[in-house]
Amino acid sequence: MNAAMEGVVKNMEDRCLICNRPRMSGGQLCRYHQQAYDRLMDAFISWRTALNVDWRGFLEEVLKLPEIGEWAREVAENLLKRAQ
Amino acid sequence: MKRVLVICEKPKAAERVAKALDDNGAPREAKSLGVPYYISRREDKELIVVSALGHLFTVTADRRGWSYPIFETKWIPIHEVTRSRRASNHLRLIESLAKEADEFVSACDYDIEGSLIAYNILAHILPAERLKDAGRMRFSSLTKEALLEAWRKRSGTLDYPVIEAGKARHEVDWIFGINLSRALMSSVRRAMGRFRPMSIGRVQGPTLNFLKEREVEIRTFVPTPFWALEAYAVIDGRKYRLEYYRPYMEREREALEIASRCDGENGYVELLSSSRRSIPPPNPFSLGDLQHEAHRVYGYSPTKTLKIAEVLYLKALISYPRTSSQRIPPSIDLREILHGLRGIEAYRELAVGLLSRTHFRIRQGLKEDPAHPAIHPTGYYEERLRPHERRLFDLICRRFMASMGEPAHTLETDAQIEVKGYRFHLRGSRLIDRGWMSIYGPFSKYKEETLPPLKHGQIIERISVRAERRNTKPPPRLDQPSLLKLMEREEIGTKATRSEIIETLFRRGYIEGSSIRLTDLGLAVVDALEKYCPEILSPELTRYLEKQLERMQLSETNSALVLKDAVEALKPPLYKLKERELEIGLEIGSALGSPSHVEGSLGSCPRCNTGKMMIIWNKRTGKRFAGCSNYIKGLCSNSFPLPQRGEIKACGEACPICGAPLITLKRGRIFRKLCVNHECSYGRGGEKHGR
Ligand SMILES: [Zn+2]
Ligand SMILES: [Zn+2]
Ligand SMILES: [Zn+2]
Repeated sequence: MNAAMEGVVKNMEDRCLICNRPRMSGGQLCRYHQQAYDRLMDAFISWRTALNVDWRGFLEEVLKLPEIGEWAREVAENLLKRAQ
Repeated sequence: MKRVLVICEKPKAAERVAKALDDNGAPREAKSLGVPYYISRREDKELIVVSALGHLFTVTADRRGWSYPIFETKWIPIHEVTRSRRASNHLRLIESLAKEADEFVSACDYDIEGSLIAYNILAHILPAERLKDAGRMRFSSLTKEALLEAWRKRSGTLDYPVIEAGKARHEVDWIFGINLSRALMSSVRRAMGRFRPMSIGRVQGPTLNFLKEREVEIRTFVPTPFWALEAYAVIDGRKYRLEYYRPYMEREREALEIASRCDGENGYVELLSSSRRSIPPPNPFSLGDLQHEAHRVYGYSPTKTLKIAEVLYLKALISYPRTSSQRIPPSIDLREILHGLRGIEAYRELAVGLLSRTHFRIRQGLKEDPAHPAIHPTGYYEERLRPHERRLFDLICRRFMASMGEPAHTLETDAQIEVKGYRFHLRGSRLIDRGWMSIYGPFSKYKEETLPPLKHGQIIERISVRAERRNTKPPPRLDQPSLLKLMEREEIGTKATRSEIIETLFRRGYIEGSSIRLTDLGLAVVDALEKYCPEILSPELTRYLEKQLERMQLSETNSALVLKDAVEALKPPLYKLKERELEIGLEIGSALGSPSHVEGSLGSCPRCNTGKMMIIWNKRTGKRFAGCSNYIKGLCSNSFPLPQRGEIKACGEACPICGAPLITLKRGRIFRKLCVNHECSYGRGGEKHGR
């Protein structure tokens, strides 16, 4: 069925911003996307020391790497959209 | 003449046993109910050798029905469950042959399962006072010598502690499996209104949890960059790789700076050292070792390896493969086996070499198995092997002989080279004595790195140095052999059951791929269990039960105690699951329902006439309703609540009363045809009219 319909259903609920799992209390993400978010934050610190990149540069670069996990990718894509 | 009924585990084994025990090596073949059996003469006895088909009995509930919990079990003939004609015929034949026998001997494989297979049959056909006189042959291979010795040394009773442990293991696993699986299925059915086969068990739970931990690690992985120096020198026309003393650097600037200072410069040999290293021969194979190695060199799955090994065992070419031992006890005649291998063209030279020794040494591993030695060739050979059988046989023979070989020796050289004040290393390794590797041959992993002759103070010209960016990598996905190793290391499951459990996880759709990936369903199952009964996922509980079962084999505890323990351990998580069925079902259901949680059309919308009424699942509440497809276009917001239980299908008709689509609702075996409009009386037994 079409994506728009799924969107309708999803918006009616209290779900993770990215997937269909329930949100962590007080957050916008489910436990797994939250974990991916935390790891992105940690990685950003290493990237900044390593390459002198800013937040947006980091997100753009990290998204190009095949090693990035799919949940981390979904969070990074979402953050990049919001950074623009 | 005394008549002895000898029960084997499989038809092929029965043929071997009959031949080995017959005085002339030529037993009479007979057939009844399509089942072959053999009549052997041995001294003053007539031996009737017949086979089971693996287990002929199985655990089941002591009552009918689909409810849970169930804590009482009984054993019944397996054909009553599987409807297998063959299994039924085997049992009938054994029953009728038993009537004419004076003595009974179990010649099933010598391990828990084998002991239990024969016990179940004998306990079924014999009264208690005769059962206690049944004997047991113990052997680790099906060669004539091994079987004759097992016959001579057969015990006067069955091995009861092992049988008790085997029975308890089947019962514990059955009780865990049936209750937990039914809890899952019942949850899904309650939430989704449909049935789906699901399972979880005492060993499946922790295994799935290992996979989940790895999966989360991989899916949340964020690579970070680091730099390594790629340095090369050309010496005497050949290119060699140099290693910077720090394998990696975290800052790009630092790496670029060193590279730009050193690139194209000369270095000199500051320090030169070398040392001999001894590489001991490998231990002979346990089943886990064999499965791992066969996967490495041939790419065989663990299940495939076990199947092939079983064929080789039934052909009496190798010893019993379901062993966790890495040791060859002194009772095994190494000289005899080598004499046998000498007769095989490919191993003649190797065997002769080993036989010329004054004494034999074998490298023993750490793991032991109370019943069997490590996997080894028996010294027999058969020309007509299939290619994969020959390959596995080759691996086993070479490994066995390699474990009797001398250590290999290498010379490790390290040249420390200074370039502009930065330290690099040129490292080499050379085999100076092949030792056991010449026996293991193509399967040895060692890789030689030769170095040119170097002198202290020697100038190395024009070294090229480049800074190379790399990224950290996520841990690899587990494949079947590495998962098997992990289960072994964590002591969950047994050598006989591990690969079967992995296959079940695949069959249930919890995992997929050769690099194992947890599916959404697998993840949802782990998530739900973690939330409501984490005990089932932790290896602690299953490890504890495993220990109890082992203690039973040593007669340190008994089956009644172990079963009681297991049931008490299962009760709390099981009751929690039962209480939370609906919530658990909703969570798992949302994974089962995805990606489309909008199901097919029921028919035209009676309000707008252009839209279709669709079944829509609300993922949060897990409830379903019928909504008009024009809702997304903002044209129509017609919706009806739907019954939450039962399977709903479109009828393809409009309601004669209100024009809304008619549906069929299936609950169990009951079908009902009714109008999707909940306010309409069609099919609602007239509740609306108050009849
Ligand atoms: Zn999420
Ligand atoms: Zn409509
Ligand atoms: Zn109607």
